[in-house]
Amino acid sequence: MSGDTHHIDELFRNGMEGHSEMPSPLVWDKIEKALDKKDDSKRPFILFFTQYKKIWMVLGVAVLCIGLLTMGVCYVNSYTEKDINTLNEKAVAETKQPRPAVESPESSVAKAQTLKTNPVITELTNKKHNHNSNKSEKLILNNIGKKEIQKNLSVATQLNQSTAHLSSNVPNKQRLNDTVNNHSDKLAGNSKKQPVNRNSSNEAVANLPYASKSVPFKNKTDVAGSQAIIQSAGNINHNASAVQVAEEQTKLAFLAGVNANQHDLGPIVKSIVSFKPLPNSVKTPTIQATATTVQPTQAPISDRKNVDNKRFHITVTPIALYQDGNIKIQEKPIPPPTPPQPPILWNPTYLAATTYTYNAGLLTDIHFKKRFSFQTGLTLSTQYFMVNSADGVAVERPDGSIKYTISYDIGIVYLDPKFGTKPAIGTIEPIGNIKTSLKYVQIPMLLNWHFGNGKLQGFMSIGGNYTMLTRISLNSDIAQERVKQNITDKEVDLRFNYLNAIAGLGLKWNFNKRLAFVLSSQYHQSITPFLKTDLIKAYPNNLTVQSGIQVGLFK
Amino acid sequence: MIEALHYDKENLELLVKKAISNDRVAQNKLYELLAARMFPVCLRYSKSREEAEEILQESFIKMFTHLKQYRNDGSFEGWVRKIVVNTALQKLREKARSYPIVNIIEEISEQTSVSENNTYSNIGFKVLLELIQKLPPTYQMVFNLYVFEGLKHKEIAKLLNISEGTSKSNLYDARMILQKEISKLDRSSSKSTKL
Repeated sequence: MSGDTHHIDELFRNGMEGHSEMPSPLVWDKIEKALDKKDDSKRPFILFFTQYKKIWMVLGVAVLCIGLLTMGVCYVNSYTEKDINTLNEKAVAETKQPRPAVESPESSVAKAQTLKTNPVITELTNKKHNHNSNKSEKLILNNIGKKEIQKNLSVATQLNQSTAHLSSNVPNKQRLNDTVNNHSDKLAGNSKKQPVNRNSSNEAVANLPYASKSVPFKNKTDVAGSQAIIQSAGNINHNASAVQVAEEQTKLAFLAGVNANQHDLGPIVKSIVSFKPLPNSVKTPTIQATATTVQPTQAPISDRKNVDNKRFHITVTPIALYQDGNIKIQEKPIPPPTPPQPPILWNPTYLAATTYTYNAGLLTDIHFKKRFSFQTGLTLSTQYFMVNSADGVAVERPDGSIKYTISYDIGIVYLDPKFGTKPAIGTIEPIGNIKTSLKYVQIPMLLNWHFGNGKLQGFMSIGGNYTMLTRISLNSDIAQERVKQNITDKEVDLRFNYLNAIAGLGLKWNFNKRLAFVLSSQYHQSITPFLKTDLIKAYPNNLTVQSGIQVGLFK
Repeated sequence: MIEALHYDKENLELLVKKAISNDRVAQNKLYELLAARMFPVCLRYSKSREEAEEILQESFIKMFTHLKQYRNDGSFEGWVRKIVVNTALQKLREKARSYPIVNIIEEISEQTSVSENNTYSNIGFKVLLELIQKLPPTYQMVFNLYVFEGLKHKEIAKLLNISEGTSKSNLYDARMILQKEISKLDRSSSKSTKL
């Protein structure tokens, strides 16, 4: 034979291929036993889970919901008063509006006593009051003794050289009223003490002008001569005739003074207050008050720690003095015109505001133990925030609309063992990747359910999200972007940590093994309690829509 | 009559899915569909029926264990057949380490007379199987992979971790042996007819 053996191949191929023959029945028995043995060797939990899948699905969702609610309740109850006070103290220290100074009762009384013995006051009290007089009088009281009386002003009385706001919160109100009563007796020449009519309303008095001004010192070491001038204006009586207004004008007295700022260095301003009715319309009388420092303070302004001590305040508060001796004190000054409300400042804790986010990242997916997948990755996000102000106008961030965030993901996914190392159709996978950046740590707890097949797949998710703001976020953001106004029912107490419930839906269109297009949406519902008093606010609802391309690099 | 694998694709997919879920009924059904075709393959790679059943058993256990890895992108029977062949090769390799082949080569070189006019189409499966099972393990592997699995010498060499040249010479030797055995059969059958 020369080597022509290829016919052998054909012989065997034709004779053996296509032949069917069953082995002995014992083979299947052995296979079955071996498979049973393999199943029993799995961890009881997984075996139990795979056998009663549907029951575990329902139980799992129920446990997750109960767990989230419980965590929410515990969170509410565990928040400490200390945290609130810390936030409030910071807010007060950084507020732009200095508190009006409130003088101690003792100093107020002492000054009132001083005024009583002031020769100018004495002169005035001895003067008869004639409300029909055409003479205007202008009274200037100062501790130097200079005085000037102008026509058409019958009585001007300064009861207190340093005044607080004549509001219901003034601690020395009782003493002030007593002082007023004493003066009213003398002014009216009435031996009977007339009670101050605080409670009865008076239309004229209701519209008395009021003004307040806060003025910085001109010089660094406020030497004598720093001046602050304010004008108070307002309608005394809109419908009154000229005669009536003129009459009422004579009844009006104005109380003006300079607030003694509270500080740790003692009184800093010795005030001089002058009154000057300006030649305005009778319906809008204007009083101009001028305060001038006359003595240098004990310490240079630059050395003063309290921000309030770098300014002094002058106020004009009207008092109606009637001929019968009754004095109506405007207990509550007319509030100054409301300044235009600034737009809501964007708060970085508004994680629930409308955002447009673009993400790009790398995620590694390492399977181990056939049941677990370890995922870790880095994501760069660019976010564009928009917030709706109270009047519905969209507002951008004042410091720029776009923010960049780098976040690091790390987490472990448990996979249904029946579907191997990758989630296939119909799997349920609990997932919890911890996302963290410098400003927050976010821990989601989600159950994902995949459905569909082939090119188009869908997935649903339900769960929760626990976010903790870091100190870096709280310290910088409170100082810069705190919202004080426009508190609405929709705002949610944020504090340091908060919980969201999440529900999501998505679609995945597989172009091929490596490329897919994903479109998904998630709804976040805040489940932390609603409090309006805290400084950090957030919107409770957040709907996100995401779309993107998934590329599998190593498959 | 053994039922052929005449399942349409959808039903087969459903069966596979259930089998993945550890449904014993589905697994048994799959076994019944495939065992009849896979067992002859096991016989070709083994030395005895018992050994073939062992190979079949191991193959199906492996198949059910890794069934989730089947991606529905090719013939299911082909995928199972690969598992069977790999399992069989594993067993044969263990045997090949201790099987002497020197004597057989010497034996082949002495036998020269072969009738080229003989036809062997009436040789049945059993006889052919016996002939293959008599081959040394290495020759048996190479012959089966070349003739029945359709692999090239390069692929066989990679699979068995031998050189391409060795694969070719092993196949030649296997053919020679089989040729010789068939000739023996032919001579003995002609003798009996004469008688």
